[in-house]
Amino acid sequence: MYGGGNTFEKITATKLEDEDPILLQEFEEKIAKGGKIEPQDWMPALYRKQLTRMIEQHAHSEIIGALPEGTWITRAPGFRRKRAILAKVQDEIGHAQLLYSAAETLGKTREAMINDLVTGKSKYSNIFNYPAYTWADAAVIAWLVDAAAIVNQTANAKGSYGPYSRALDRICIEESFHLKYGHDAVVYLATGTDMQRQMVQEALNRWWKPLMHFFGPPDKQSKHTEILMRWKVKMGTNDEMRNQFMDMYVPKIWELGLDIPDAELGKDEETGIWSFADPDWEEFKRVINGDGPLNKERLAVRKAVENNSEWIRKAILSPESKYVVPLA
Amino acid sequence: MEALKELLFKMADDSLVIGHRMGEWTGIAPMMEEDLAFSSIAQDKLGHANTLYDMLHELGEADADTLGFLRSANEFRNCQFVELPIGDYDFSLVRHFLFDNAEFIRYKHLANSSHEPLAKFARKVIGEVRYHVMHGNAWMKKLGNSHTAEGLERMQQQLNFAFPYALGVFEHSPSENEIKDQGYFVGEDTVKEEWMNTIKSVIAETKLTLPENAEPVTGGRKHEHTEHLSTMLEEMSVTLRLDPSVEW
Amino acid sequence: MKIDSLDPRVSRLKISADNSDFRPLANLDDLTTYQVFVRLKDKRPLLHVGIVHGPDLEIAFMHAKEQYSRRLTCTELWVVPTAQVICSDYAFVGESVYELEYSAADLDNIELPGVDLSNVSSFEIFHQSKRGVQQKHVGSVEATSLSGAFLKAKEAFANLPKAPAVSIWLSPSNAFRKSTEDEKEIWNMLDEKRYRDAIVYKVKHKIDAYKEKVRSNA
Repeated sequence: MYGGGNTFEKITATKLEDEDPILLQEFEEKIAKGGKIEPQDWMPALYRKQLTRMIEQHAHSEIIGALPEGTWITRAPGFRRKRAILAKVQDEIGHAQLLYSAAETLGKTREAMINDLVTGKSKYSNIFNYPAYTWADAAVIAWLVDAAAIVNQTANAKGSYGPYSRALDRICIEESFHLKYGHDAVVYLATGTDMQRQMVQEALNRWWKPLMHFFGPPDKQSKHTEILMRWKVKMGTNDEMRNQFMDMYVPKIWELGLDIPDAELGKDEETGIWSFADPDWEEFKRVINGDGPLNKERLAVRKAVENNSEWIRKAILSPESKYVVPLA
Repeated sequence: MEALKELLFKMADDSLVIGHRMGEWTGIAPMMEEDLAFSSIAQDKLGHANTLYDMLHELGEADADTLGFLRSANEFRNCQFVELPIGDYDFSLVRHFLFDNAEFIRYKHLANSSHEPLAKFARKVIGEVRYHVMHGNAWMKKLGNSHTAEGLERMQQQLNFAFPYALGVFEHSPSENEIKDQGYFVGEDTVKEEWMNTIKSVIAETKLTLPENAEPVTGGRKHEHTEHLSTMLEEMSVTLRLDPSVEW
Repeated sequence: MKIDSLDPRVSRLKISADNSDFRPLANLDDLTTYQVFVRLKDKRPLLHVGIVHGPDLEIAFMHAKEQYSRRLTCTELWVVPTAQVICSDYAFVGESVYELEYSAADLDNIELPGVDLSNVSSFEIFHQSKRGVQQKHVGSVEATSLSGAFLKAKEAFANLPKAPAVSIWLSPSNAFRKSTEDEKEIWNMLDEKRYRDAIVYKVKHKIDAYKEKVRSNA
């Protein structure tokens, strides 16, 4: 037994072949039987490293993801939308908090993660580097970006790491509100006046390409991917996830009489696979590397938030405080 | 009836404006946990405003969205305190502490209002407002006992700046006497007296001091506002005004 | 150059576009951690729901309330500093955690920072019934030391049919900030916050009406 002050050993770049074979076998058997790994369990260094990176990026995507929709927080039309968009953006911050907490159990502090985010060392989802020009952009984000995220998160909730799965179970329940709220907001526009329809069509035109980017480029099968799938860190290929998203949401977009800006879009009824035009993977790479429309602003905002609250952190930190890694 | 409407309007307008202001922090507040808490309080305030406008609608006024989003600034009866911009987080916290303690006392008394829908709402909402006060008081005590000189200076400065505006919350409405006589509400003087006691007792647990001989900043209850209110309302209603006749 | 954003709130932050002045966070800038437990309904057990960061127990409680009980229902909330929770090892496969052999001396040597054991008269006990699920509160035991608490817990809870344990947490009862009976009213309005729930967003009638309109125009 140990107190909560327990700290993990530093992440060393242990190669898989250097891990203790007996411990590794027990670990893999546990996962193969559908068991979960908990923070106190032995785990290979590679597992810890990959999970930390994945959960951390997910958390960054939530905290930065609050900004595009946040653009319309002060301008939501009417009480019903005004409260809902606040609750929706609030949830994004809540999800970031839950995910950072899960990542902390793997031994990286929240401060270190935030530093890596704002200095660009650690990535977040590309899609949040695009601008929200109108209220309709906020509606499209709430519906379709969250729909895409749910496809990922529902799969990852079945992954092998206990704290991440528990956080995702909680998050998925909240995401179902986002999805319904977003759909509701889009439907009101799409079935409204010509002006409203035009707003939402233009927003969809802007977001479709980033949505295709969302799941990442087609997978290259590698030994590395195979291990991560065996360890239930990665729960599906990029293409599988994207196809699932299209299968669920393309018909729902079409039934509103909206056009999807892709002339090659179509489903092969035999294979169940959707085809789509090349969404410009070069642009995807440029945005990942910092050259998207709003990368600089997104990070500048997060930096400003941290800078502006520095005085509070210093004022309330009690001198005898000691950081303690969360237990679960 | 006009007196009752006056009471409902000033409360609804206060709630909408403070709710909007607090909501401006969502996603960009200090500390994720605090971001969440402050956003919830903002959402609660908007809910209060919506309910109070609905009560006015029952009394023959326009619907809540029209009342909240489409009136001009000179029709609003909120106190000037709530319309001031959010400033740094120190100001927003001090305002939250001062304003919400008044709200809590107000709703406690409104539980006995002769206007039954209002009394019923007050009895239900009191627990929620109690949380707002617990949150505000906890932060005031924390930052009022800052471990740094900067923390203490900032809080004292904001308290000095905010306090005269806070006194303006209790400005009498034109129909103050009738509001009391009809039993709608116990009146601003009673609330103010109890509020002073609470504020003094919380501040006594900090290293801060309340400014002496502060003169209330008034006008809001008589439709006089700073330029901040019209700027805020313009921004808030920009989407709805694209076409106020349709559903969004 | 200040950032001129599509978000008026961001423009008001007056951020310089290059933002070269970021001061990296130091350790403890995000303060320390607290464990949070929620009781959704009376007579249901308290469940571990996650953590919050905070400067002290009282503010951690304020934060936990909105992070973990802003939806559904809630009748009770407990918050405790992580440092004051003791966590067992995992039981061997097929066994109970109570079959692990801990010596009294080992247990009593475990540090509980910030706890004065001379003021402790009872411990709260939490079970995890299998890996992956939340810790669940099973009860409290009277004890003045960790070894005493473990023994008492074994007597009281080792054979609970509905709550086997692969791991347990123990924490002094007085280390918690627990919501009081009287404070229950802070959750009174939860049923009025349905705008946060998926279920209130219903648009089928709008979609059907739209399709009908398209059909009749065609």
